Amino acid sequence: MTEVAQQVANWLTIGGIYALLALGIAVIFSILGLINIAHGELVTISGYSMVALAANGVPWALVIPLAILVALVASVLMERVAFRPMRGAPLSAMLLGSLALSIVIQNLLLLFVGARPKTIGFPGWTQSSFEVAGVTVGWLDVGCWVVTAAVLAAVIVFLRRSVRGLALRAAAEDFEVTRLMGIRADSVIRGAFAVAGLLAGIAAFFLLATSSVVVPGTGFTPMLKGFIAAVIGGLGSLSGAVLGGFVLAGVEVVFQLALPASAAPFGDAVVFGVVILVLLLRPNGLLAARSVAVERA
Amino acid sequence: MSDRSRIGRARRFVDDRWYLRALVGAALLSALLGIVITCVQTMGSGTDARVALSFLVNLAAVIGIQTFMGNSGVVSFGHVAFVGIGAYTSSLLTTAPETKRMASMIPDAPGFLLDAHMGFLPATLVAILVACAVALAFGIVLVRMSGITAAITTLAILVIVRVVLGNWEQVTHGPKTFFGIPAYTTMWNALAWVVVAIFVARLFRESNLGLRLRASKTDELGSQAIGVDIKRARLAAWVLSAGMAAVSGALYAHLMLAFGPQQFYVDLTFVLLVMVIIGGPTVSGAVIGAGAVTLLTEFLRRGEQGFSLGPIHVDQALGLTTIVLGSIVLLTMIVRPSGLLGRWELDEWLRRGAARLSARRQRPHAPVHDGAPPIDPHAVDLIQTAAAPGKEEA
Repeated sequence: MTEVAQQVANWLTIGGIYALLALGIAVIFSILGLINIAHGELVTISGYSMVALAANGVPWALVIPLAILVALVASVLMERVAFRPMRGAPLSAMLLGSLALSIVIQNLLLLFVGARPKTIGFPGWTQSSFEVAGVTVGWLDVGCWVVTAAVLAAVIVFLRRSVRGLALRAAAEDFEVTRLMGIRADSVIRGAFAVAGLLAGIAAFFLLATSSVVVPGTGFTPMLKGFIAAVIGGLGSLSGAVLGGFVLAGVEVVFQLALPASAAPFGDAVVFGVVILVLLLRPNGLLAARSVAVERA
Repeated sequence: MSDRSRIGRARRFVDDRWYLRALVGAALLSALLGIVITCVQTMGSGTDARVALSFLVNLAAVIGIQTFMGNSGVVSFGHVAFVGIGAYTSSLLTTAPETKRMASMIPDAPGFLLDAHMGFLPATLVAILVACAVALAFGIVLVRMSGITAAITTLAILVIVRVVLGNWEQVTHGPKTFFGIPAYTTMWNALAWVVVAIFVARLFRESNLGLRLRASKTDELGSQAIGVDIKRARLAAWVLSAGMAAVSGALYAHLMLAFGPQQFYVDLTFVLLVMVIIGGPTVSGAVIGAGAVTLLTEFLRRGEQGFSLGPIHVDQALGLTTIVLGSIVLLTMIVRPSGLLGRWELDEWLRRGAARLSARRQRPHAPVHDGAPPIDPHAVDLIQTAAAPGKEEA
């Protein structure tokens, strides 16, 4: 029983992080039809800014919001520098463009910061834990659940209640018509990248707090996981992305328990095999989006 | 009968037969490549020869990726998986049994693999077969998808194969280095394999199946409406291209003599994709793109050793090459998404140029007739117009 509870706690933490990443990827995809492979680099950039800020004696209460802000600004900059000139290009061109952007950022970091892993001196509370009925729960896990829930709620309220959110949702549904309704395309797209950057920055904190080190290639795996989660949920569907995050985390946790020890290293291969199967049976994901971006894709 | 009309008849004879068009184009490209490689081998330094050799090894995979991506329009991140499969298969079959039985290698592998001691050619052929078989298994699923979903699936294939190669301790030596591979790759057998790849790729492109696949790239729905079986055409291209990638892997293995699974992952994928993208979606584009990227990489790699720009002194600029390559891809995507050569092969460009010249010579004041190469672009354009009248080109 406690074993199950422990795994559920695990699942919620991993799922929350995946959901944050997947939602960021889905927000951009639903509007532009673009899969931003450079999304993972936002995590890396945020990580390096934590290193730099913490090393300069900035208190952690400031480091976290500042690092998230850096990710947000980086995301908006990415759009301005790389994706805006590419707008209207074929989808495959944008996909390859974002891969190139991701590689360029990784190597810029390699060039200016170096390949050696940088350790982030996280405050003590992130590594401490407490016990409830035999289940060990880290304060970080609790933080992750609370923040993920709060952020997801905030994003939902933002999308449902605010004018900007309405514009974003409308643009996700049909970008051309939204523009005809007098919504400024640039501001909607900038908004989408800002939201994606914000989510990536928050995810970066929880991801890096468990590993404590950052290297130029840190962002690749989170990007892949977020990407897969978004696909499972149905690319372009925002609620699907959140669902996909938890489904992917669930599959991973279950496989870790269910696979025999000798097959454990192949866990990732099995997970990706399942992804291919999901795509085969439901090409548009679990919660298929009705948006035009998806039909175009 | 005048000379001119005889040439005209000969040209029409070639134009009307897809295999002759393909053979002429492939021969022209191979001849160009052969001249360049011979020059490098006889006149260049040892370093130049090594660069040319690694260019040929990459080129086999680039032509493979192009055969799938250029004709079908589906982005593939997965071909490096088949390069890896090719490298491991041919290494397993050619490495001396004593080496494989060493405690620090793979003594627990199945007996027939331990005892295998083949030559280069049969091992490469088996490697091609294995890669094609794996590609067929993935391909049956892959061809049911399109666009972004297919691209993600190819990425998933890359990850799956990487995980298996990196963890199958018994057979691949897991994450550790596989060593003791005999040195079989030479400039000339690499060139021969690449020439074979060029001919196969060009024949496929010009064949009915290749034409259908290219039509489906231009307009998926339109081509289906006129009876193109996209799944079949894509599957053929996918399996064929995996075989070419496996050749590249075998050449790589017998050139490096030792390698690990990490060599067949995102970094190599990126380099090969850059070559494909910069050249454009044709076989000639693949060759020229790979050549241009190799030259540029070599040039930059010398810069990586350190340079000074006015007041800025850089001792060692690791990653500079990749930054420039990435920026070039970004620029290509923004400015010229169809690549250096655009949608035509080298021989088609030459023919267009010649037709334009002769038209100008015959009637100096008449509007210049655009000597489009026969059949292919017309057919594709026709399909495009039929499917979506007045549709702008993307």
